[in-house]
Amino acid sequence: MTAALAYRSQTAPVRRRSTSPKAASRPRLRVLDQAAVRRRARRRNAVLLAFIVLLAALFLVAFVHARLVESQQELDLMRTRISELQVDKAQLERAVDEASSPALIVERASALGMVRAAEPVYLASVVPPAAESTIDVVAAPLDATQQETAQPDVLGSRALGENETG
Amino acid sequence: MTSTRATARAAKRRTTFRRTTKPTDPRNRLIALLVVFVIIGAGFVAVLVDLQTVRPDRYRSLGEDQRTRTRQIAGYRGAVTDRNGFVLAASTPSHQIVADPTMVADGGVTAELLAPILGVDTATLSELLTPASENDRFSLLARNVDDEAVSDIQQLESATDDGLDPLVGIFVLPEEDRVYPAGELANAVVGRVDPDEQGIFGVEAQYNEVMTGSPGTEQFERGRFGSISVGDWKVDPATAGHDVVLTLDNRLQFIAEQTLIEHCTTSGADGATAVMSEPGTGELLVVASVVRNDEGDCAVAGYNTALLDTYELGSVMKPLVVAAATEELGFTADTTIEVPNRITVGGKGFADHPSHPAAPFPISEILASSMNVGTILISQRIPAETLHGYLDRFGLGHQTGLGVDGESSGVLRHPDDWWGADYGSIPIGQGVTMNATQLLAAYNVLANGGRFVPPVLVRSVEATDGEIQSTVVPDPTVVVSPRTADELTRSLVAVVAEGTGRTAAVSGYAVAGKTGTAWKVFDDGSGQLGYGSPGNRRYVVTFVGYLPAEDPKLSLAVVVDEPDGEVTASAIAAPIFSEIAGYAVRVLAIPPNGSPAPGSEGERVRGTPAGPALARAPGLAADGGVGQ
Repeated sequence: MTAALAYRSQTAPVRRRSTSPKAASRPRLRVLDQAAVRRRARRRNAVLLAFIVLLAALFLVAFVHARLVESQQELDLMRTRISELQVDKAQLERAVDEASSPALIVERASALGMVRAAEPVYLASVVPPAAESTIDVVAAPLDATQQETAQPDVLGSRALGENETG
Repeated sequence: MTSTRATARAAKRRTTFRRTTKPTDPRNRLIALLVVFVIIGAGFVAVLVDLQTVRPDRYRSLGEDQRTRTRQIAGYRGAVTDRNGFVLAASTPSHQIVADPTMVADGGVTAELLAPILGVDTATLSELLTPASENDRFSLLARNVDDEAVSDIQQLESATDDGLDPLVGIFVLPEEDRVYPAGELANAVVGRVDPDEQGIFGVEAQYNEVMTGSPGTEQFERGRFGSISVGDWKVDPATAGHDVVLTLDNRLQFIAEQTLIEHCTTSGADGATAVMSEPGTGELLVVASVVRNDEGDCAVAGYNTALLDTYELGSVMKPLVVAAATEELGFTADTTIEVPNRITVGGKGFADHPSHPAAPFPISEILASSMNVGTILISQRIPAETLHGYLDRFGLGHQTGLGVDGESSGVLRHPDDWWGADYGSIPIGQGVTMNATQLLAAYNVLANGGRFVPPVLVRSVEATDGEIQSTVVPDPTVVVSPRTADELTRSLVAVVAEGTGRTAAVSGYAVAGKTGTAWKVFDDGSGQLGYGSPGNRRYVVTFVGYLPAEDPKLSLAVVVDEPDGEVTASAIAAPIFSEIAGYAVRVLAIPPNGSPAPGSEGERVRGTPAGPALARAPGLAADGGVGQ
């Protein structure tokens, strides 16, 4: 019993009501609630984590937005480029059309020394007896370089009579 | 000291007196403050109500107007192409240069800089750049300016260093330019547009509605430094006009025009027309119009003489008359008719030249020699009403159905209006008028075994989304029987083989055709229209035909208007036919049938004699050939 009392006196001194003003202004001590401390710590960690997540989200949004703007600008540039290329294409097509015009082809061909083809000569597809094989040439070949428009066979230099039509 | 205290007390009393006589009630101040806040709040509420409920659209549009810009997207006019896809007309991006003269610092300086680039003289530009009044805010300086010129203009800004920007008040606006890559090729058919891209004539006018595109718009938000990339962007896409695909072949069209120009020049003619078609489909491969212009040169015409000009075409009418009689009376090409050299109809004499004794002539020879008297006698064997009915079904007196503005239907009078000599002149092609396309369509009846196939000039109308609207062609109508058509074809082959149309022959092909030399009506100075007098006549010479005769793949009509001198179709029109058709058969890869070349009897190379090539032509050989 004595030992026990001695132990108590060491570990938990008997409270005495102090009457001095200094003792009265001292903050009251209380036993910490460990669970509450842990709860507060968890809450603080959670808030910190939420803040970090929020910050990260904000950065992510800013990053995505920046990428979006960048992509949109790239899209705008491509759209502009497409318009320019369409204009170029239209102009090139017109240039090809002009270069393909018969008048220009004839002009270029003449400049290169080409002449209009002579009247073709056709070979008749008649197969004669083998012993007396013949080939009918139904037109005489002409020299393309000397070919001119055939002079018409004028049938009627005659004077037309009253109400005559040709 | 006492005095001072007394004074202080007196002052305190006065002060106390004032406070007690004019007390300031704090509630009043609060009420006043409240009223002020209520008024301000009510103002806010009123504005809010106005913004949100009364006129929200107005403010929204004001805001949008401030930050959005609208750009117009051109809806290009559709193209005109030939049957092979060759572009005859198309629209291409271009620019116009405009000015606000009130903004231009020095019109003279700006004009000097712009003049060499725009190709406009400085004085004109200077005048355009000088404001006539303070409301003169727009001047059109140049249209259809290309990219290179625009670039040159934009570089002018940096070229000057006098502190004045010469480009202030100068604007570049987008527009479309109508281009014709082949120049004047088929000008009369394709047509042209006005500066506002509206068709004036030709296909450009006829198909203006479907060819006109509708512009689109592009709306985007714009900030201080240009467009906002992630802002609103709305596009109302432009719709391009439809393309019109013609039946023409640009190669044949070019050759035909060049040939006409050459012969128009050498013959001294006023003009010439050529129309070529595929008889089976009626598709027109060539519609060429050439006229002598004010400078005296033959050139491609700006109007379609093949549809707009009608003539009395003379003897080309005879086969149509003979076809009617053949159908009604069962004639053949070998049927003979007693033909005197001269007859009188309605008090007017009609004669054949060169003269011949009265003798029986086969119908083929009547046509081959283009006998007036023989044709008139044949026409008299059927009632005039019947003859008129056939000519009507051949398409004379009707528009072709091509829908070209200003097309003439020609004149084919009803027999009730025939008088005296009409019974003699109409069968030989005087007193009845037609255009070249009508003539060709009529001969296509003979080429098609008696069926009338309407001519076609537009193959299809194609939208940019690939939708194709093909031209709906009326069903062919039967005019004469295939037997009649075949008999007439035999006679027409004889015309080219041994008659007046020998100069129309095409080497290797049997050609069926007919010449026509007609007097032209004109005012000889007496104030009255007439045919003139011997030595003072004007002529229209024609050749119309088709080939290969046994299976026609192309038909061609050539009309030459007023060549110089006493001329015939054999000398003027038939050679043109030969030249154009000879080129066309090669372009269209039509196989030859072995007919001899013009003037050629066929050259034997080795061995046995060669028979008449034409006799081997399928479909004609059964009758022992033609032209014998």
